[in-house]
Amino acid sequence: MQSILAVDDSASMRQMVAFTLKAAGFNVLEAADGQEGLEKARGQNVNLVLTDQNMPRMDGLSLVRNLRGLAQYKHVPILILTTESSDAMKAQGKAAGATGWLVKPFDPNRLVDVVRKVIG
Amino acid sequence: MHTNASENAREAAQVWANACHAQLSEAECDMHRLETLITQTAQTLSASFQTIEKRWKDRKDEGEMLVDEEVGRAVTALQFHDLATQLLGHARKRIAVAEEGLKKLTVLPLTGSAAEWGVPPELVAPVGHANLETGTVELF
Repeated sequence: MQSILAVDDSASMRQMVAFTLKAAGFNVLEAADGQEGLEKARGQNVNLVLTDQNMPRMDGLSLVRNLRGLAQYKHVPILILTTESSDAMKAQGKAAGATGWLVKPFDPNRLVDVVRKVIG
Repeated sequence: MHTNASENAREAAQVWANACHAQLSEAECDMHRLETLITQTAQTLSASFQTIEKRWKDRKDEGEMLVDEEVGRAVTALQFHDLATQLLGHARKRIAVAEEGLKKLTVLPLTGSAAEWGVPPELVAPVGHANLETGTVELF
């Protein structure tokens, strides 16, 4: 079973992401901010990281940059799921090494489609 | 005469400033209550629809597809908690800036230096949503 790390400081958002992706057959790990996400990602290999942008301690873009600095996450898909929708923020996400930018709220079917597409 | 008029104006300004402090404080309390209500609502809705989902899936009847669609809508709708929480957090920051400004207005002399006043921070709203329509997807 492929594992996805869902990083978001909103417990309800993590719950919705986990519910959606578990129903689609994925194993879902959860983290409440970028720092916890980085620690969990280091501890085990996940097949995809789905992260929020605005979080305490470490934001999503910093998490992407940190993960891309780890050999095991050089080529792992990282999607940013956020309320931020400006072109400037998306450009920062792309430059940091994110695979894609999803604006909240997400449609469950569409999220599963995108995850399946990028996870290969 | 002129001095009395000036003092009256300052007193009136002080009354208004005090009223602003009080209203902002109350608004902050209201937002806190709203956040609590939203959190409780989201928790209740979440538990309810997961129970419904499980029961319907167990039956494996023709209504399954319909239920899937409804659950999908619920999953989208339940994300309002995150959006609302961010909006409330941002509103609190705005109120804090307004409160700081009012304090300066009531404490600092109007003849003081600009350095004492400082510059109000620029706040950029992280949430521009006016409704719960699903967001865009862009792959790089």
